[in-house]
Amino acid sequence: MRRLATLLLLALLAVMLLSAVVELPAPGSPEMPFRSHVSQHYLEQGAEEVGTTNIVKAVLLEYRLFDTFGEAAVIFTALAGVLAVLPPRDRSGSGGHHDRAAPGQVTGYVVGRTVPAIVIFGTYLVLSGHAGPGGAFQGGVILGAAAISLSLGVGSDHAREFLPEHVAAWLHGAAMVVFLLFAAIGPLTGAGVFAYPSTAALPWAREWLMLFIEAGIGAASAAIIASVFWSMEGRA
Amino acid sequence: MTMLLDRADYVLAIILFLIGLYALVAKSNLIKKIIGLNIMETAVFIFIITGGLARDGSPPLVTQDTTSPYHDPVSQTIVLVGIVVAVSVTALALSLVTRIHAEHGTIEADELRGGR
Amino acid sequence: MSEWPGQLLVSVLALPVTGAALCLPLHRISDRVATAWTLLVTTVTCAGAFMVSVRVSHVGPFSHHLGGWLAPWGIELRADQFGALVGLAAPVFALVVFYGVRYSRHAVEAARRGPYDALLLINLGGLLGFSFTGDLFNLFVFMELFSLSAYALVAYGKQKVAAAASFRYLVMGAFSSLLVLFSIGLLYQLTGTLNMADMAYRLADGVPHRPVVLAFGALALGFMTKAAVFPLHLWLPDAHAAAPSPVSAILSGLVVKMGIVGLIRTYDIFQGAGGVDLPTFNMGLSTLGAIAIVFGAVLALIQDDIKLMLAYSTVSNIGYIAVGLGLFNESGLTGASIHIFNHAVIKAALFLALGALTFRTGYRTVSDLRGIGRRMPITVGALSVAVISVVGVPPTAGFVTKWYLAVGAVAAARPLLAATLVFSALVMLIYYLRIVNAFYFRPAVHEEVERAVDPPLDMLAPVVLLSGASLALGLIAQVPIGIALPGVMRLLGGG
Repeated sequence: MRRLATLLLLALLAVMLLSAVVELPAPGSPEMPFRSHVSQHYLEQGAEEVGTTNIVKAVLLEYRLFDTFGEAAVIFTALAGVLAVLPPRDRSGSGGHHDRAAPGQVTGYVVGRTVPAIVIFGTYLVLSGHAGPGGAFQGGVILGAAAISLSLGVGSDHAREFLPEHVAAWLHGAAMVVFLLFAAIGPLTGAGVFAYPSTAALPWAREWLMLFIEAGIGAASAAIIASVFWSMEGRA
Repeated sequence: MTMLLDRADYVLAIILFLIGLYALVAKSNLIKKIIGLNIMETAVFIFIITGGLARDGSPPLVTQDTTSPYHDPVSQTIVLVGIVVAVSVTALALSLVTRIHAEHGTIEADELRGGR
Repeated sequence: MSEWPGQLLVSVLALPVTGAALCLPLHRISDRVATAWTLLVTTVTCAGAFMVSVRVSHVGPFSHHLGGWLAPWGIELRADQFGALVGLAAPVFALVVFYGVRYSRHAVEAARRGPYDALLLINLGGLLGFSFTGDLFNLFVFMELFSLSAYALVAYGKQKVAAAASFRYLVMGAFSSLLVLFSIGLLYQLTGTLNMADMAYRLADGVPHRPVVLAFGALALGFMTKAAVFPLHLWLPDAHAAAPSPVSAILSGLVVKMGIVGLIRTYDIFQGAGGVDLPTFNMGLSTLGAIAIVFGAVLALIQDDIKLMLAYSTVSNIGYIAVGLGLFNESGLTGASIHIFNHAVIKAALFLALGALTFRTGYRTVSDLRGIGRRMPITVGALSVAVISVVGVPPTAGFVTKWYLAVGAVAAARPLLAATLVFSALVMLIYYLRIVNAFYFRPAVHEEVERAVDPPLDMLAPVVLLSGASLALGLIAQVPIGIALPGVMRLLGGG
């Protein structure tokens, strides 16, 4: 009965959504209204105004930098939330409970050979996003995934030796600290809070600051993803 | 009918959205609810991303002189942020489920409500 | 360098969010340093937000273009009258944080204190960012900040239901956020912009009707869920009752109000949009609000747990605001917008006073706390003042709101609505009199109650200040009304 009511409601919703969608221009058609407004400006002027050829990056790191700041804060919030819900156990106690089966030798071997490559690729993505495909979040996620596969392959006690807890505690906030410094640098160079120094005054500053922000976001996302995994591991 | 066929991407996104909604509403298992939520999120991302695609377009990397139109960079930005948000919500939700399981010994919504 | 109010505005949004990141490592070094940092950031941020509001009330709304990119290309921060009302309530947040210091030492394990401070600061940043942005997608990002931190803060509750309540809150919250995101995507496809003012301008002509209606519906439904307007309130009572008292004060006082601010933004965007039938929506909204008022009041009446009672009272008070918005005339909108601020003060006073009682005795139900009035005279006195205010006895802040709403209902020729307002005020009077009666005139049943004394000054002062404000705001109601009025006239289309 309840299932029937749900399905009926969903069917009703489907009709409503479909009837609205047929009035939209078909995807890919050139008459989509947005083609002639903001994004057109980005595509035509972006490379010149910002200096990066990857326009998605120009939007993320320039025109809508404040959203990227919020986005980095959202993952940090997720970490704070996970630590609030599942506070770290006291690991100095009687060795913890290792009820999980030890990883097999084959897994360990494969992980040991692939993780270095994954780490290099992730780092490359973090640092190369301004010119080609890539970006800090994507690279950070891949670095985080490397930490997770290392934990699964050789056990998280070994994996955590690469990222000791007191280092992780600072890395988690790396993106936020970078943004704090960035916000503070602006007024010093006469550009105002949360703004890049003008290109005329410091021609090299913009590019380096972008790289700095990307590195901060990449390091923070990687550390956060790894820590979220470690705090949930072996709980349930 | 051709109206719908032209917009097949949107129709698929709607179907996916409804599948997710069904899981969210009808499933009692909390993990399945989270999966449902993620399916719905994916549907919305597909909707936004396909809306921003140009026919025979190329990615918004303005290096070479292509004559084809670029895909819309703003839609991609929106979805990128959306994915990060979705991941964050999922992480928090899973940690809550872990704690619920530790405290109540179940992750079925029906049993949780009954056992209170 | 550009003008100072804009710089102040950016700093107010950036400081708490970035500052939160330092809470985790600082707590590893020293609890004391971390607490001092949290208090410093909160104080500076709230003072800054208050200054922004003062500026808006004296000079009018202002914008700041981030990074120097003009409006549709970059993100525009905008401090308008409704944002200013939230900024005016920022000191409430600061008082709650000050009050919470001793609470968190007392009730939160050491390992969870760092995240607690961080989540509070992020929540503050999210609330302010949501209220002070002129960009719809930026609004979504800040909405996620305060929502995510709110879900996690609920899980700090002591009772076993806390995690489950937090999960239910998360599912409803994530669903409503998804609706908002979907609507943003649709609106972007329809207009090609994310700036709210630009969007409103571009929606006014030549846009297909049914997708606009869908976008409106999704946005309004999303914000109504965040605001817990009547049938969408199901997540609220458990979450607000399960959370620790300082968190409940913030959730009930400020976080649910963001849904209301979101609805006001929705009005701004769809004001001239073709196909959207705002009068019908308003009729529905005010009807739902009226149901919420009665429903919340009656359910509050039957609760013994005071926190649950206060949570249902929030459902009822959101109903008042929904009625005011739905009336959509000068009095109704004024009443609704000043209640955003007034209810924040009153509900924070109530939750903090109750938290002080629980802090001293360990109890939270009316029957357990009998006879507490003589043992903790200042706390219970402050609680009683706040109670009078929430019921709406003249000359308190609650009275001013309800007066404006009643006048608005009469002006809209809906006497039944006005009658509902009066009726529910009477119901509220009964249940709050029940509390006061039990506290003052019944003998104590527990030894802890017999031994209880008023809490230390750092908890007592915020309680007294907030309840004093809930009284004083009735006498100086012209201040919030003066801020709200130009915004209300703008919504009504008079400039």
